[in-house]
Amino acid sequence: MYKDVFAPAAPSPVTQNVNMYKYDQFDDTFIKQRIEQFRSQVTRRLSGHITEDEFKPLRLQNGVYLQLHAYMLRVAIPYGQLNSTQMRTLAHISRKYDKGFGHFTTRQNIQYNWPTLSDIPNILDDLHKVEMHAIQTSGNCIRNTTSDPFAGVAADELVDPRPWCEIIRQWSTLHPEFAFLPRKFKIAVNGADHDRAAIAYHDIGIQIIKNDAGEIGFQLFVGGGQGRTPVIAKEIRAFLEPKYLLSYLDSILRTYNMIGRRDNMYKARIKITVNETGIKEFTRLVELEWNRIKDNGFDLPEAEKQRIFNHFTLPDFEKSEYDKVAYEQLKQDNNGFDYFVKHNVFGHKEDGYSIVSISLKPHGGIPGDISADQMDIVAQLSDDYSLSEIRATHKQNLVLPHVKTGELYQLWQKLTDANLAPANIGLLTDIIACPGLDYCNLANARSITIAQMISERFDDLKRLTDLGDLTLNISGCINACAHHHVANIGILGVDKKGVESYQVTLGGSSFKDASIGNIIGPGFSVEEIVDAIETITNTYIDQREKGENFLTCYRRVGQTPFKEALYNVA
Amino acid sequence: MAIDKKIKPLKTPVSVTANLLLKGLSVYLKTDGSWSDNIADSAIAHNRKQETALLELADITVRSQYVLGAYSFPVEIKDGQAAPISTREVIRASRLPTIVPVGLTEKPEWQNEFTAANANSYKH
Repeated sequence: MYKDVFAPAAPSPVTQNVNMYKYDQFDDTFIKQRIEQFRSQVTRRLSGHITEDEFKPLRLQNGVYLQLHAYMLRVAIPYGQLNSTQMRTLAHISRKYDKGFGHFTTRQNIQYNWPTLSDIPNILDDLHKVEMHAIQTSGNCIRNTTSDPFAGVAADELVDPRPWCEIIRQWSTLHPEFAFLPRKFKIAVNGADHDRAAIAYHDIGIQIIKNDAGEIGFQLFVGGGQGRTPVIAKEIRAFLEPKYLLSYLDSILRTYNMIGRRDNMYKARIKITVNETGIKEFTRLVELEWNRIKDNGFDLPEAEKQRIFNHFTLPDFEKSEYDKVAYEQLKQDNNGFDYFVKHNVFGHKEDGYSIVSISLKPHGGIPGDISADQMDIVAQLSDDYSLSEIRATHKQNLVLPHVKTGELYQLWQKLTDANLAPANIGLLTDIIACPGLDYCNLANARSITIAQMISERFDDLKRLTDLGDLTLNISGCINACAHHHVANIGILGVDKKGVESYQVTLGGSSFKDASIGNIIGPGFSVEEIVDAIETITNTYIDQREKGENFLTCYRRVGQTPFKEALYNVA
Repeated sequence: MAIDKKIKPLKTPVSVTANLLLKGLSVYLKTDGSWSDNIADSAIAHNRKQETALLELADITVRSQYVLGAYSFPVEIKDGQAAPISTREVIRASRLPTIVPVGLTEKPEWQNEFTAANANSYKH
């Protein structure tokens, strides 16, 4: 299946066994045709046969943006799943066409910041060789469906959401009705008890549940989103039989497509439609449409559903036994390894296996950035330790999903050598940051710089561990690409008369207990913002009760003590 | 460009910038209608008439598919040369982010290939 891959020249047999969707002839031909179509569009643009106004929507639907310094290409990583061959190709592309690095995004995708326009069809060719593409990573269409990065392996999972994500991907790719929606549209699916996919902040959030009768189905939420108007999605259906997923999604999209606000781009997202229409009336309209189309050929035939599901059977795990006493001793003897296990290692469905998160948030680093050499190292480590499988997370990190617990120490040593072992997953320095004004045409302020300064100030793992679970996200403008509204501590960069200023919100959450952060007061300058974050964490330490994490403490004590500490008001 | 005192001056002088169609890099319009990646080389308009003239000059290049998205932006004048004022334009003019990504060490390379002489025949 995988042809002409890059170093190493041929894929290992194990790569081909990764339990992920593999292209068939139809997919292969479709992607090839799409690349040739885009190549022709690029040629016509460069020769002046089409204008920028005509070209822009075409390039956007192929993931091509124009940023401050150069074009940017966003490559889709369907629901965050990659194999080692694909990761090596991503490294190869960054070396050959870009500047030797890539940037993982909050939709589990990867961005290249420096491609030349005429090279992009060739990049797409290289991606196609390993069954990847950049279709619908931008534009007013259905974007890459995101999911739990631990999907299929999480110890707390009810059902693997990946086959459903793949079904949604195939249904939504170039869906003729939904190619020009009022605005972009994002769907997330979560199959575990813990919401690791932030479904409450998606246009459609899908939670896989079991009803009282023990049947598996979907709880559907609609109208969530961030941007300038953050909204928590509302339940549109408490339980949907799985066989009706596509007809129900069709009905939601059709309703939105009919009544969504095309007159004002700031009011064009479905969250505004749902709010203006009211969830009750919106639900009525959706159900009306659904009752009209269901059982009428809109859903997937069972055989096709089964074909897709067959790609996602779990691998045959070798028996994994390890010396538990020796393992505990290693942790005791090695503080760094102990922290790594505490923060970056998670429970796997299979006995003797662990899920390992690779933090792309090193001391003073750029959140989500990874060099080509590091990509190759991750690919090799996934071959050696994780059945050649890798996941990208919406928190801009990577995951090795199938690591034998007895091999964790070896893996940790190799990750450490590659500067890929910061033990800070879920901690204050596991910061989500958008590219901000360093790259983005829409940004008003830099966000990466602030993330770097915070990670340098809060570098002590003992201190970070004491602060506990704490999310901090930084957006460089109100579009909120870095999810600042839903962080425990959110930072929003704004332009205040030509000078960068940073507004702080407290109390957001992207998990099951979803909440939107509240603005704490006037903004801070670049010079003040890190001190302000330290004041907030110190206030939390002063105020917390035993075992209370930041969010629980904030919800109990409210804004007042934080406000008093930040602005010296009594 | 000479200052015509009869015409109401702009609040601040402006220069014209755009991105190269092929590479996307930020470039600045020179008085002869060609482009430089160095903002210090850029033509400076002090009044509305001069600004319009510069934008019209830039439009020739836009129509020749060499650059896209030309616009004027406020500059300050240092030693007779344009310098950016806003943080956004300071970062654009540097041709690099203010942070140093792993792997990125050099500014993107580029040489102007567009002149008034080849305006009507330029091809990528």
